[in-house]
Amino acid sequence: MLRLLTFCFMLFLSTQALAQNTVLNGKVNDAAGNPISGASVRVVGSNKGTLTNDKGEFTLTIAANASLQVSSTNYETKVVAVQGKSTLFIVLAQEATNLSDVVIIGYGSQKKKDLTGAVRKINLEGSPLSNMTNVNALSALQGTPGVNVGAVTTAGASPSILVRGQRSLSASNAPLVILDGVIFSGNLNEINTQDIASFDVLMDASAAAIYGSRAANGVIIVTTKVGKAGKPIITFTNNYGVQSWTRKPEMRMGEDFIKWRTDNRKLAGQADLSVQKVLDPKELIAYNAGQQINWLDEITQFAPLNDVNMSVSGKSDNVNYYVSGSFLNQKGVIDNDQFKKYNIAAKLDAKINKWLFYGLNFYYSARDYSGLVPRMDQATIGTPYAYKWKDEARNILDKAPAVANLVNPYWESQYDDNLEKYTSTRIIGYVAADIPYIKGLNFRVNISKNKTETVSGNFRHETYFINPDNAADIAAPTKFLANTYGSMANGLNNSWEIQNLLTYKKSIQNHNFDALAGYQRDYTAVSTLSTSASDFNSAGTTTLGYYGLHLGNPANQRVRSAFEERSNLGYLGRLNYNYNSKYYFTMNYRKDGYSAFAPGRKFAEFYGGALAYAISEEAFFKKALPVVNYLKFRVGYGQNGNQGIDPYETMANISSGSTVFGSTSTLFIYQGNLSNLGLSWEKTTTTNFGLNFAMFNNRISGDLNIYKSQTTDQLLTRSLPSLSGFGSVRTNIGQVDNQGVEASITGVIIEPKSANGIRWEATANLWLNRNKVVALTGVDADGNGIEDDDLGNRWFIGKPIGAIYDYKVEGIVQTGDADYIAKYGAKPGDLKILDINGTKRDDGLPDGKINSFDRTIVGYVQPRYSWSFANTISYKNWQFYFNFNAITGGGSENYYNSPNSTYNLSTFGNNQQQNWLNKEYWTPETPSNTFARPNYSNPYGYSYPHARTFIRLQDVSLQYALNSKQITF
Amino acid sequence: MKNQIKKVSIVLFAFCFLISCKKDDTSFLEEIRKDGLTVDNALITKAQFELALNSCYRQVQYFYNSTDGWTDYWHLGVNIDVAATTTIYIADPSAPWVDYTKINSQDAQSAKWWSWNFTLIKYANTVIGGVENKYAVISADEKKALLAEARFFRAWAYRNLNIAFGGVPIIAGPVTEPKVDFVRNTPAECNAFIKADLEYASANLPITTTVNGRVVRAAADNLLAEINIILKDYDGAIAAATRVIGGASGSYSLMNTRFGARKAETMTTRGTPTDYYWDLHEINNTDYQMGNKEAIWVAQFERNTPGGGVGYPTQGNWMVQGRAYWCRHWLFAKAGHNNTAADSIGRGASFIRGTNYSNWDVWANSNGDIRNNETNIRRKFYFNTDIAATSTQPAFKKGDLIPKSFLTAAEDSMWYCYPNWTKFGTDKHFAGDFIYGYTKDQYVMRLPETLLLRAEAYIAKGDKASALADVNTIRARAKAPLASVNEMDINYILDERVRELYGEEFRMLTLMRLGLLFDRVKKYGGAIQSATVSAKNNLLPIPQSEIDRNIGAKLVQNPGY
Repeated sequence: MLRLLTFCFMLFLSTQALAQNTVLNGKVNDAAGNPISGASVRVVGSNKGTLTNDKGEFTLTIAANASLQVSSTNYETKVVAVQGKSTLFIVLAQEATNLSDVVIIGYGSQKKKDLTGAVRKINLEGSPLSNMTNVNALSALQGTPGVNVGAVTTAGASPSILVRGQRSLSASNAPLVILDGVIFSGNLNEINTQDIASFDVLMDASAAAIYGSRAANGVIIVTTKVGKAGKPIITFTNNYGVQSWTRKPEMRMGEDFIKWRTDNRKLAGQADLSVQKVLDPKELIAYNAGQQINWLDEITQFAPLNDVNMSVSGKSDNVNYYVSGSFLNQKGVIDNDQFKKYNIAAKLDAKINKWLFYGLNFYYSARDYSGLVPRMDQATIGTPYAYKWKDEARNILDKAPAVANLVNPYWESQYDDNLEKYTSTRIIGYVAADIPYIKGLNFRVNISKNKTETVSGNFRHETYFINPDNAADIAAPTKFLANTYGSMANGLNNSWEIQNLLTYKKSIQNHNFDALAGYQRDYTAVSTLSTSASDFNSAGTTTLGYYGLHLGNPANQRVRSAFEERSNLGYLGRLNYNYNSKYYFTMNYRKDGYSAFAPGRKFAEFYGGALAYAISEEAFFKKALPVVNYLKFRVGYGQNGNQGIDPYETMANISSGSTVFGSTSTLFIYQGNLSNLGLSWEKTTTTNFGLNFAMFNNRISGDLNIYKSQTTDQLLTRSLPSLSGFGSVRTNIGQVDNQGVEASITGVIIEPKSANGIRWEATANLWLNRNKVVALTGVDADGNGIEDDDLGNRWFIGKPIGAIYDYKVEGIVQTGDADYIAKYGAKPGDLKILDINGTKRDDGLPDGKINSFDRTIVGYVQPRYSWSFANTISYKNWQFYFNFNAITGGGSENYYNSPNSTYNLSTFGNNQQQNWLNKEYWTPETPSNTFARPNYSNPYGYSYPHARTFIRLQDVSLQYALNSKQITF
Repeated sequence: MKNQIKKVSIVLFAFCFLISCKKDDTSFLEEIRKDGLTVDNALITKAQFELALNSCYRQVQYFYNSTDGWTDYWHLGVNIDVAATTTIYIADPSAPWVDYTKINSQDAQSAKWWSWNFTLIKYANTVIGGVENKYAVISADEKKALLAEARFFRAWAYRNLNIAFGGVPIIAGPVTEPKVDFVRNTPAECNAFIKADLEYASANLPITTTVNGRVVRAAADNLLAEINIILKDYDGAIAAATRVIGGASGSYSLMNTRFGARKAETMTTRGTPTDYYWDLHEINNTDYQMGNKEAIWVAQFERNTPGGGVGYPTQGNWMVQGRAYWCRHWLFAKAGHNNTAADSIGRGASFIRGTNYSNWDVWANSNGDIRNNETNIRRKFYFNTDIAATSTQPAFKKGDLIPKSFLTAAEDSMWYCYPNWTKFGTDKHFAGDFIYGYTKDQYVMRLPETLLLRAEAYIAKGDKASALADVNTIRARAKAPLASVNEMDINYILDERVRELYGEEFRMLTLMRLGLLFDRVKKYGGAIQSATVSAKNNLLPIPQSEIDRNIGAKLVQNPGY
C-alpha cells in the first residue's frame, strides 16, 4: 500500500515537473560558511541529481516547483523547495558527529546510528590528532574510552594496548588488528601514520564476534586514506618535533655525593671518614683532578623527530587512487637510540563496470633500529668522580670508574656492533561483484599477502675485553681475539589470507536486512636462519664484524634453522536487521579452527547477538521530549576466543643444546615439555548494555556502555611438582571476570554566530574497569576448602589481576623506637615493616616476627579510573586543540624510593661503588621518616611500590590553514 | 565485451575459491613440525640415544658452574665443616645456611638440589624408557650399554637425593602426562632401587673409553661401594671398591710422578717449586685420557667452546671457583696492593674461606705432606710496596713476608689474607684475563675416594689394619707421615677426606650419609653455623613448592621443618 502511494506521488511530481523547467545555480555551505564539496543534490522523486564542485556549487535544470534533497557525509540531510528561484543558497547543519560516522564493523560498514554493538571510531584524517607526530599510530588511541595505551620510551617502540582490561592471565591480551579488511599480524609501526584515515575499535563481543577466533581482546580496525572527489590532491607534510625526558632521575654529584658516601661509611661504623677512605682510589684521582661527570646527562642526547610525508590522491568516476611516500627519522632521548622508517603506499580502487570492482593496496615499509644504547642502569649508579675516556683520541673508554661492578655505561654500546632491520611488503587485493539478477547480492574476495624480512646482527670485538687500566691490553687488544663472538640472523615471515564473502542487502518496506556469509583462511610461515661464530684468533682481526662470521674458528661456527607454520580458518555469518531504523537486531555466528590446538580440539564455535531500540524515532517520544534528537538503547551478548598459544605447544618437543667431552663440543637433546592433547580455545563471554543520545539540536551527544565479561578456559600454565622433570604444563583452566563502564560526551560549547566566529567543541570521556580472578588451577593445598591463591604470579582468588603483594611499611625506624627495635631486631634507619600476621597469611595475629606471612595486598597495578578531555577551538583559519589524559588510582599508597639504595650494598659494606638519587635519607642526625638509611640492605625484598595517579596535558596543537588565495602556483 | 568481463570474472572467482579450498579443512589445520623433533621421532637410532644421554652430562655441569657467588660450592662443603662464607661478603648474617635456623622449606639450596637431581632423573628415564620403543633401531648390546649409562646417572641422582632428603619418590620411567600425586618412598626402598641400577651399570658399562668424561665401570663400582656402606653390606662395599683399586674395573693408580701439560715446568709463575700433586689439579691434566691414572669420573668444562660451561658462555665458560675460594689479596691496599690482579696472586673475591679446621687443624701432623706445601696451599703473602713504620708497626720493604702480626683488622684475615688452596684456581690465566680466564674440568670421582671408602668399610667391619693400609697408600703418595692403626676411625677418614678431597667430594652428602652433619658443623663450622645448626639439619627440607604443587597426594615434610 505504501509503495503504491509513493508511486502515485512520484507520478504526480513528474507530471508537474514537465510543466516549467528552470536553470538553477546553487551553492552548499556549512554553518561556518565553508563550501561543502561532493555533496549530493538530488531532485526529489526523480533520478536526476548532481554533486557539488570544490566550491560547493552545482547547476541543475529542474522544474520550478521541484524539491531538492541535499546530503553529504557528516551533515544532516536537508530537503529544500526550489520555489522557482534561479539561485539557491543551502546551509547544511553538521550532524551530531558520533552518530553520522560511518563505522567499520568487520567485513562491512554501518552508520554509527545503526550500530547495535559497542564500537568506537577515532578519525585521524582531518582531525587535530593528525597533527601529532606519533611514530606509532596506536598512540593516537590514547584517551579513547575503554582503551589503555602504554607508554613508549625508546625510538620506534610500539605501545602496549589493552581494550577493556586484562582478561587473559597468561595468553596474549593484545587486541586483534585489522588493516583494510584483513588481519594484520605485525608491528603497526610498519604503517605510515599519515596514511591512516581512522580507527574503529570493536569493544564488545556482539561487535567483535564476527572476528570470533582472535577477538576476545577487542578488535582495532585500521582504515587507510582514499582519494576524494574533485581535483587530485597533493599533500606534503613535514613534521618536526623534539622529545625529552618525561622525568629524569637526579643523581648525586659533588659534595652531596661525598656526604652520602661519608654517611654510609659512618653508619658502617668506620671511624676514618677522610675523603681518601670515602672514595675509591680511582675516584680519588678524578676528585683530585676536579673531574666530575653526570652520567645521566652524558648519555642523554638531543632527540629530534622528523616525519616527511607526501601523497597524491584523487577520485574520478571509476577510479580512486592514493599514493604516498614518507620518511621518518627519530632519535630517542638516550644516546645512539635511533629509528628510521621509509614507507610507500599505493592504493587503487577501480570500478570496471556497473557491477564489477577491483582494488589493490600496496604497502612497503623499511625500518631500521640498529645501534646500541648505553646502559641506563650503570648511568644511574655510576660514580660522578670518574672519566668517560681513558684516551678519547684513540677511542678508548675508561672501563671501570671504581673498583668493580660499575661499568662505564658506554662500554658495550661503544664497542659492540648491532644491526636490526625490517622490511615489509604487504599487498591487499579484492575483487567484488554485484551478482546479476538478484539486487543487493554481492560477492567479494579479499586476498592479502605479506612478507616481512628481518635482519639482525651482533658482534663483540676484542676491545670489549680489554682492561684500559692495563697498558698492555690497550697496546695489544688482539690477545682477546679468542673471546670475540658474533651472530647474524635472517628471518622471513610469509603470510596470506583469503576471504570469500557473500553479502545481501535488502529493504522491504521498512524492513532492512543486511546479511553476510563468509569463509576465510589464513596461513603464516616464519623461517629463520641464524649463524654465529666465536674465537677470531686465527683470523687475526674482527673488523668485518657480523659480516665476517666465516672467519671465526671453524669449530665454533654454528648454524640454526627454524621454521614455524600456523593456519586458521573460519566460517562466519551475520544478520543485521532493523525496522524503520527504530528496532534493531543483530546475530553473529562463527566457527573457527586453529592449527596449534590439539587434534580433535582445533575448532570452536562463537555466537553473538544484539538488540537495539531507537526510542527517539517513536512519534510519542518526539512529541514528549523534542529536546532530545536521538536516543537509542542497546544490549549485546557474545562469545569470543583467544588462541594465545604458539604452534607445537601441544607436542612433546625435543630441545637441544651443547655440552663437551674433552675439547669436543657435542649436542645433547632432551624432552623440553609435556605434551598436552587437551589444549583448546580460551573463551570470553561478554554482555554489553549501551545507549547513544543526541540533544539540543545535536549540540550535545554521547554514549554510555556498561559491560561484564567472563573469560573461561584460561590458557594457564599450571605448575607441576618439578620432580617429574616438568615444572609446568599449559592447560585450559581458570576464570577471570571483567566489568566496566565507558562514558563519552561531546558538546559544542560555543557555537559560532557567523562563519568567522569562535567554535569550541569538547569531548569528555570517562572509563573504568574492574577485574577479578575467579578461579585458577583449583589447587587447595592448605585444605581450607577455598582455592589457593597463586602467590608466585600474584593471582589472588576474588581479587584483581596485578595485585601488589608486599609488606606494609609505616615510615622509618627511628632511634627512639626502642620497642620496635627490641621486638623485631631492627636498626634505626630500617624500613618500619608492620607485623600484621602470625603463622599464616592474613590471619591478623601479629606474632612478634616479621616474615613472609606479614605481606598482604597493598595495592593494585590497574588504574581505578581513566579519563580524558579533548578540546578543539576554531577561529577563522586558526584551530587550537588540546587534550588532557588522566589516570586515577593504581599502584599503592606506600612510600617510594629507589631500589638503587641497595644496589651492590653487600660487597664492601661501604657502598663504595654506587650513587643514589639526590633525595633525603635517614641518618641519626637527619632522621627522615620517608627513606631508609643508605646502607639498608632491604633484607625483606620490599619492592617500594608507589602510587601513579596523574593528569597529563597529552597533546596540544595549533594550526593555521592558509587560504588557497594566499598561495597560488 | 560485457559478457567477456562477466566470464573472466566468474573464472577468477572460481579460481580464488579453489585456492582457498585446495586442501580440506582438516588437513589445512593439521600440525606437522618441520624444524624440530618430538619424542616420537627423536629416539630411534643409536646416535640419537647418545645425544639423549649427553643431556645427563650437561646436567652434571650445572653442579659446578651455574651461578656466581658461593652457592655453586655449597654441596662441596661451604657452611658445613670445611668452609664458610666470609661474613663480610654475606651482608645478611641471617641468610639461610649462614644461619642454620633460617633453613626452611623455602630454602633455595634445597630446592636447587631437588630440581637438579630430579632433572637428571628425567633425562636418564628418557633413555631408559626410550630403548623399549618398538621403532628403536638398536642392537641388544647397544641397548645394554645405553641402559647401563642411563641407569648409572639415575642411581647417582637418587643417591644425591636419598642422602640429602631421606627417601624421595621413585620414578622408574618417563613421565608422559601431568602427575601431581607423588608419594615419598622410604630411604631403604630408594637404596634398593639405586643398588639395582648400579649393579646393572657395573656389569654393563665399558671398562675404558676414549671419550674424556664419559662414565666407565669404575664409576659405578665406586658409587656402589658407598651405597653398600649405607646398606651396611661392608663386604659388598669392599668388593666393589676392590674392583676399582685392584684393576678388575680398569687400571687405576695414584699419580706419583710428574705428568701432564706443565710437567716440564719446575716453578709456578709465582716462584714455588712444582710437584706431581700440583700436576693433578692443573688445567688439562684432570682426565684419564690425559694420562691421569686416578681420574675415575671428571665433569667436563672447556674454554671458548660451545657447551664447555653453563653459567658464563660469553666469558669463555669462566668458572667462578677461583674467585669464590681465594682471598682478595690483590685488593689489600694496606700491604701496598693497588687493585691489580695478576697470575701470581690471582683475582680472588673471598666469597668462601676455609674454616680453621680445614686450613689448620687437619694439617697438625703434616711434616713433608706435599698437599700442604706452599705450592699446593698458599699461605705466604708479600708486601707489594714499601710500608712506612707507624706507632703500632715497624716498616716493611717491598717483597717482605706479611707477618701474622700485621693482620690486625678482622677484614685483613677474613678477606685479604688467608690460605689459598691452589686446586681452586690457576697461576696461568687464559689470555692474561685475570677476571674470567679460568676454566677447568672437575673431579667427580678420584681414586683416593675409592680407597677412603674401602678404608671406611674396613673400619666399620672392624678390620683396622686393612683400613690403615688404604689410608697410608694415600699418605705415602703425599709424602705425609704415615698413620697408625689406633688412629683408624671415622674421624680420621673424614680428616683425610679433607686433606685429599676438599672441594671435590660432596662434603655435605658425606656428613649426611654418616648422620654427622650436625655434630661436625657444631664442632668445626663457622661461628654462626656452629651456633645455629641443629639435629634436624642432617636432612634437607622438602621444597615447599613441591609439596604445594603435588595436590593429588601428600609429600611429607622432614621432621623439624
